[in-house]
Amino acid sequence: MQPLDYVVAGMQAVIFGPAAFELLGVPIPLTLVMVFAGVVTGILVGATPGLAGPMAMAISLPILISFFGYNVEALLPVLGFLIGIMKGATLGGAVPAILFNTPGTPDAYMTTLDGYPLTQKGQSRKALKVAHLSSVSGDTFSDIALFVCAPFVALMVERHLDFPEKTALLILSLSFIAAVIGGSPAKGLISVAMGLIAVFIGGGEDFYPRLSLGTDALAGGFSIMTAILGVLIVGAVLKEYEDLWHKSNLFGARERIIDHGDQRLTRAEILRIAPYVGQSSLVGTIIGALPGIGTTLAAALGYQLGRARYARRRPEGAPAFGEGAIEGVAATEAANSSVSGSNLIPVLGLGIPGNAAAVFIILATDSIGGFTPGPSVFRFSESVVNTELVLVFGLFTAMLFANFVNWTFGGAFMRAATVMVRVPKRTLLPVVLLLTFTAVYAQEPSMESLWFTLGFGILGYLMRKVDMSPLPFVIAFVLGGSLENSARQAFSATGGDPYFLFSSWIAIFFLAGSVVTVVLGLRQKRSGSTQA
Amino acid sequence: MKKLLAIGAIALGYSIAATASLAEDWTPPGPITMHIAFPPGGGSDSQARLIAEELENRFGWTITPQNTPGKAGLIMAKEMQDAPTDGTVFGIGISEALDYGMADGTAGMTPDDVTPIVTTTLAEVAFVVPASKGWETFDDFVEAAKSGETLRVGAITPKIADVTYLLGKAAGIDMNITMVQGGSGMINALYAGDLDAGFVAGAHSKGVKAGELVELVSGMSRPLNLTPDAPLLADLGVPYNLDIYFMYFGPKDMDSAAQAQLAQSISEIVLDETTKAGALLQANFGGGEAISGEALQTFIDDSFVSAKELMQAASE
Amino acid sequence: MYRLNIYIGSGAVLLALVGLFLWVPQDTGTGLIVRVRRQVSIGDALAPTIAFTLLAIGGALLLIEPRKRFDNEVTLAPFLHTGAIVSVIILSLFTMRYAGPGALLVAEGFGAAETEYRLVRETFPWKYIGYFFGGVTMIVGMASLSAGCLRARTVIIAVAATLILIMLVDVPFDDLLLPPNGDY
Repeated sequence: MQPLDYVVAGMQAVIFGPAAFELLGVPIPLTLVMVFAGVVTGILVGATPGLAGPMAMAISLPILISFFGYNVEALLPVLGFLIGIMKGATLGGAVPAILFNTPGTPDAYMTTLDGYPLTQKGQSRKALKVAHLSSVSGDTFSDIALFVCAPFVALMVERHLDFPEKTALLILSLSFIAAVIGGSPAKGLISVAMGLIAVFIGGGEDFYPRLSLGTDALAGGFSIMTAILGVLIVGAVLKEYEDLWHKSNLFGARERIIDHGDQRLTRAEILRIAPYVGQSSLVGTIIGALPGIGTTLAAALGYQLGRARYARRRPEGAPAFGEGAIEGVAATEAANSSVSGSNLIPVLGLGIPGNAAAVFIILATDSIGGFTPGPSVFRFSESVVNTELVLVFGLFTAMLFANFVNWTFGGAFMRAATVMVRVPKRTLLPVVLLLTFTAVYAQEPSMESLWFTLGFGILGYLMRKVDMSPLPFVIAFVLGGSLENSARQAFSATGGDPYFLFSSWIAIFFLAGSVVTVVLGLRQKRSGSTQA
Repeated sequence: MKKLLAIGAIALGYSIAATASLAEDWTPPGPITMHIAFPPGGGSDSQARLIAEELENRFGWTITPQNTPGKAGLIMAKEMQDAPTDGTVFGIGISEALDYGMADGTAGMTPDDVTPIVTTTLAEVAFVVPASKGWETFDDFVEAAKSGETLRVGAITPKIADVTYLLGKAAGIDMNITMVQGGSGMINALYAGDLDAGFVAGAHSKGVKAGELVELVSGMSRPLNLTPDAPLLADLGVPYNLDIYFMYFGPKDMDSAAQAQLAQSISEIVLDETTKAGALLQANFGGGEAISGEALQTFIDDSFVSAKELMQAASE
Repeated sequence: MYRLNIYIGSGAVLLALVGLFLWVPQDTGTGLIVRVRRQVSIGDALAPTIAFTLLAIGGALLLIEPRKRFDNEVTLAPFLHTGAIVSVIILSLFTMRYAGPGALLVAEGFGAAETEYRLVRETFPWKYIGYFFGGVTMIVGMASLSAGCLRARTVIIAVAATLILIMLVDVPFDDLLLPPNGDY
């Protein structure tokens, strides 16, 4: 098959794949239905304070897998749903930020700065429209970057990287994540180290399952579901609950939102925000492609750059940033949404997840089987059909459709999602917790796995409590196995060369890079803390 | 050849039916848990799930498949140690778990600690190289290994690594043997050029048919389906083989009526190409092979002894 | 005021030392490197050793890292509150685990046919008892503990939510098991 045939085959896999139901005799493709459902779920979840996209992805994954089964046909519908959530959630996060000054997702915090003042001025619908337009533009831009870059990254890696270099690359990613997330490289390192220790328990090549303390419970190791759902969801629920204890229920009575004046977005206004959207999309896309630094930083950076630009070109009489400038909303929303496409570049190109959402994409392909994200996916073989590559183009098609849904229906769903803000957290969170346990049990039916999940949840809570990001833990847990395997392979394949990590310039470059990131992180921390 | 064996196995299946009239009456006293010693996804997992589905359809039993992967099936064997023996708990894994896996004693189990039920098929194990290397026979491979730098050879289980090592030793060549994760990991590494060769257990058929991979040696005690002219391990001076069966087994002292009924029902399914499970086995392995009863017990006892010898030979 | 970073840092270093000198050497099948088949390979102890070393480095860095002037103020009360929440979760997981078999024992005591939970775990109502009571305990317990009072509304919501989850998860999916039915 020629490269173009793969693209066509991928689109066909989505459009002519299994049908969900028939509408007036026309079969409606299951994948598209799942993408649509995912986007709607994502918007609702994003608009609910206390819930976030990755949470919904985590909980729905085991249930989806059980529903669609463990076969290749399940991949596109399941991934479509997850990607729909990912894309919908950033859009939904803007809703409570603009209307009630409460960010629905952490990355929407910057949106409150200009979004809420707009609401106070009676321009909430206009603010939502700006958010919608910028968010979807950023997202689409990022997807295009993914489609273009991922195959090239993968081909480069496959051509130039052998086992030692692949090992070094994994080390670089982990140290980068440790150094960048959470503001303190020391805490990042601890978080990474704990993730590695957790994943190494019960593994190994010997018949004795290592670090299992002789118990059968630990012999099989911790499953990835218990660790990740525990740290990310149970941990977050416990922390949220503690925060709730401090304040009274915030979401009882709300003032009514009264809009007045023209809520339409004029052509002139669209032209005004366009450069901010473009600038932020670029920033968000670049940040998204780097492992570890996610939407929150992208939003902050996009906002800062937008403010700098605005300072020079602010129109006469227009409100400043922070006082209800539509440019402010545009700059933030474009930036945090443009992360969601490019964060799949390292996933598809290298098999390395950069943020929580990407972790669940890897987890999905891992659990279902038949598709291993990484450079080997992009083998444009001509004699045999590389089904993985067809799936990638199917995935791209699903992403484009998700954008289409966001463009067309996203605005309406954003307005509808307003009701989610009124859901009381106190009862919602325990239901989320119960759902999490149910999902874990569906994947791994033993009470032991629930106890492990709770244990990881307590760990996740403590980490949040001391300002240690749980994300390095999660990513280390996901990558730990491949890191050890590729090191073992590199060592054996080089005939037991103890210096295999220094066997080529590329590997040395990656290793030097990992040391440099940590050192830079430490120095930045030092100068940062003297300022504070 | 495979057909012939399959016919033999059918005969065997019927002979069980004739001798074990107990089997006719056995019905599970409650819902069944069927462990699967493979991670979810992939061919081995689907095989197990399809068989479970067909058993449910035919007999109206309630079966819950549960993945219990790890340590080539030893984790599952341990999991079943304290399980009820009334036939409501059993699992599918590979025969290597019972022979090589238990041979060195660290597992704390012997094949006597489980009840073998029935095999479903013999894995099509072949020593495979990428076609791009230009090696057409094992001699070409040996030649290349002797003239160039040390070749990298992958292995997906420790038993396979041992046999690979002995194969190299018999041919008088050095190889860097590297453990890889599963059949697809091996295939990817071969395509990417990270590895030069390795034993694969069925995942390679598609590549061989497309002319991208070449089978040089049969790992089994019989010739390969796709490359019947390839030598056997015995022809190359290796007195061991990699006859790895997919098989069902249950906890020790399992109810013999349950054992007989399950053996009969499962062999009927795997030998029937009109079932989804049978069709899958036909596509991936050239058909099902159902060995049970005495014949299976003998195979396991023999390969347990031979695995101990293999371990000894490979550590010299 | 707690000197949080010092505690975490020294805790990490301590754990790392235990790992490096006790746990890893005592509890792995092969050492840092092993010789198998006349070839040197990486042993099972190497990866955990590196992980614990990283933990030690992280801890040490945290100890020497300049502390912010405003260290996070951590008070005991929130921990106690979260501890109570966790206890409620533990209680509800136990309820989930044992309510079904317990109910069966009671039923047998009242003259129901003698059987085992394992054999009825897929039949109504036994299959739902543990999950239902465990789920309701979890939701009511956590919400009431956090709000400081028990309201009838919370109980109704909890019952409804648990029933909806049962319908969502168990009814359409044949192979999905609700806790604790997979343990048998």
